[in-house]
Amino acid sequence: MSTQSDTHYLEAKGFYNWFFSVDHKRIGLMYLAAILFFFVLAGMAAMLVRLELLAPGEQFIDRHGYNVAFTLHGAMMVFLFIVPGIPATLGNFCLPLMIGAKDVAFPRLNLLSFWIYVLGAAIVVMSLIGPPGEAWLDTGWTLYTPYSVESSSGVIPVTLGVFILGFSSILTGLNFAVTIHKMRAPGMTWHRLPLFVWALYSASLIQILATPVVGITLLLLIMERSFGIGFFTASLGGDPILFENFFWFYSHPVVYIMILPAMGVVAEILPVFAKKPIFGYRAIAYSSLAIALVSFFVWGHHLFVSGMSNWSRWVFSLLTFAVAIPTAIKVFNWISTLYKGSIQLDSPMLYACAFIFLFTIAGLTGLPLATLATDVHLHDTYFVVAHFHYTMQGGTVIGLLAGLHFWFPKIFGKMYNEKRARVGFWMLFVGFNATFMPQFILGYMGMPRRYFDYLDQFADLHFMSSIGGFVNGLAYLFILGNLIHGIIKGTAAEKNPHGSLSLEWTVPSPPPLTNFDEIPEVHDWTYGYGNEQHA
Amino acid sequence: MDKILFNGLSELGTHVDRVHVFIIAIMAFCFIACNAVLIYFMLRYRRKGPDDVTASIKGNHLLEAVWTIIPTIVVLIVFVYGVRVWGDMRKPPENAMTINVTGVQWAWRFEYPDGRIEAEDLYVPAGQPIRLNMVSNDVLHSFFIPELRVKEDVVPSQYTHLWFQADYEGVYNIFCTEYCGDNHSYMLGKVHALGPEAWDRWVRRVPDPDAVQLSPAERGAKLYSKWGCLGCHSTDGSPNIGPTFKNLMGRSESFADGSTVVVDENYIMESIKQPNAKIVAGFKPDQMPAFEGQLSQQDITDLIDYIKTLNE
Repeated sequence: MSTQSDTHYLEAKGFYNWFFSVDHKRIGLMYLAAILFFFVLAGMAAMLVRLELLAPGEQFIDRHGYNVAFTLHGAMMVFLFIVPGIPATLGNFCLPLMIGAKDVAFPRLNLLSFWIYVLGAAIVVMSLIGPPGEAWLDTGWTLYTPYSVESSSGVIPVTLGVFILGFSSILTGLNFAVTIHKMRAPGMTWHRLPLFVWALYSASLIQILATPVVGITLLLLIMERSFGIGFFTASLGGDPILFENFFWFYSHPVVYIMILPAMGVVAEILPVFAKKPIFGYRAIAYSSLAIALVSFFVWGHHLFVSGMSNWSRWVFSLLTFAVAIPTAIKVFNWISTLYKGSIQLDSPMLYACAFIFLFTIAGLTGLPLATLATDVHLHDTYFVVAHFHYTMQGGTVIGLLAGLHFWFPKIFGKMYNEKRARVGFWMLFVGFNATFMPQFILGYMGMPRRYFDYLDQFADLHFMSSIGGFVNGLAYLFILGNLIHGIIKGTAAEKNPHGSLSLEWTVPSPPPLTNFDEIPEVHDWTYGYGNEQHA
Repeated sequence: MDKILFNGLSELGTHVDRVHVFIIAIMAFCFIACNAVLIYFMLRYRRKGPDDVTASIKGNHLLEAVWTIIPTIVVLIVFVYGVRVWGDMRKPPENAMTINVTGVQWAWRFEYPDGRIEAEDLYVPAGQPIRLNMVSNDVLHSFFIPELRVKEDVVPSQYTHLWFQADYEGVYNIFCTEYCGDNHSYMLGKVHALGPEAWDRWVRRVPDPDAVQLSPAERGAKLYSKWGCLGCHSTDGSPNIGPTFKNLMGRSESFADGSTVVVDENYIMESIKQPNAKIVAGFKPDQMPAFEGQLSQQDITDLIDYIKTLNE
């Protein structure tokens, strides 16, 4: 037991102590509250979409309202929830603790990132909804030109908000990358780093390198709408496909900003609950970097039927398959970690195993989308909708929930109700699959995306998907309710309830404001489980 | 659409479906193999007590090499198979008939080599390769015939193309699959693959003897949806991009310059041919394409007769 002189980070009260705190843990927690708020908002928009699609024809909202609903859902989920997602919340909280540092490299920059996020989010939400009497954004989150140039809704303010949010993302990435390079405790070599840190590092590199591109693209869009400078509108001498190229040059790598940290969370949880070293540590670490690198060269697969040249199409198809290999390696390594383990199926582990299960579906259904002959049919159908919800929800959100349950005792110093956590998990697992499994079949049948109305032949599967969607939505309320209940009424948590060997579990729960009295010295890697070390 | 795959409607579609099935088999195998092992491990190695003995296995180079090399080979095979079939999809046969396609919000127009124009309904001879040369009038669209497995975006100021061949007579759906605004989900159409006799009749514009003779207003109602008027002009009085057709005939409309007109047949004809000539106050110009030369006089008369029926 180390003697901790100062108080733990949650004890501070008052606006100033939180909103102007440079402490990485408080910032992480504020981010968590913010992104979960937008998650619930965006989730409500999804419920509206599924309500409308219960049956063919107009049900509850008109066609324009429907287009607004899916735009709200996509834009808020992507820009306000899932891009900051795991790095800004669990990353902020855990990273300095895991590498034995007192804070990130630039604590004030970290606070600035948060405030930029708040500013950008406020602008995005206000302009998505629009001032009274003005149109709500209806372009889809992708903002494709020329529609986004023509649309009468608030494209410019939304774009400006997203542009501002980009800086938050860049600064967080920069901060984390420098932190990982410079702030590791003595003995915490690269090959002893927890894999969550490797994942954060890889995601940070993408945040730094890809985000400026979307920033510039959005500026060009603003200039085109405001001053009629023709970058993307053909009648002004621009090229509409150029926007698609720019947009996906960011928005494809960004998928890996979302999923890599979730993979990192899973790699932390599996060894703890299996009491086994992670299998193939270096392969997992380097495959994160490989995915980050290759992710920059695959954006063209969003343009397989866009009018792009035939040469580009097959080159991008080949490059896209290259991502499959490091991804497959990770899955095999995770599963092998369980071999001859001693597996405790507590809620974090249930989520981690569900992540593997759902991620195999997400990854494998990428194959027919990467293959040219089959993508032509599936492109922009519900198959794609199902595929990316398996990666984003089945992957990232499940990963976030895994991490939230795993680090919950460390973050709040309390325990949630484990029984209810498992009930919530199963609700989510069933609801999620019931929502999106039918959509794969809808895709094969040719049901296009973003359709307010549909032919009768699609009605049964849409109905199933909607019912699944409502269960899915309820499950989130149940899970979040249980966690909030845990914060308020939970029993006090021990320092290391799961028996992890990682550094963040060596400090009290919740951690003291300065993390470590003395910077720890590291003598072994993080995954020394198994009986050779701990008989 | 009875069968999702292998509907047997086109040879190329069958080739594509073979690739689909090949990949589905790989997906199913990998999914079952990975998750069978995952679930087996989860159950087999459940914790029995705090003193469980676990092995300190950190990795296995041979195993890792194997599961790097095998997926690499598998995805390369899938890639090559996909590219080969796709290559045929991108190369229209020499004898293909070219039809020009224009996408507008929210309708499809088809222009035949002899200058004939159709909207919404694409008539083609069965068994004949058809090459579509496509361009958009406004925003991005995407032309998709799910049953024939073809799709390509339709882009402003740039021609894109696809080709297909319907081997048998039949009617197949056309969907727009690139989001294009309010009526995106109503930008639909039909491919009518005709047999030799029906095609011959269509080419010579001989009305189908079996078809029911329609009144002018009924023909007008069909034209109203066929040419996409419904995208902007409602029939129930609700406001849209253009003025509603409900109670249009005889209505007094005012223009931006303050002048007014009582709507009659001539005003409607002028507005169909030259929409920008007199823009009703409160509406934007340049929203509607000029139909001068696209609709026959007969078509315009039919449309006016239809609009008359919308008066209460």
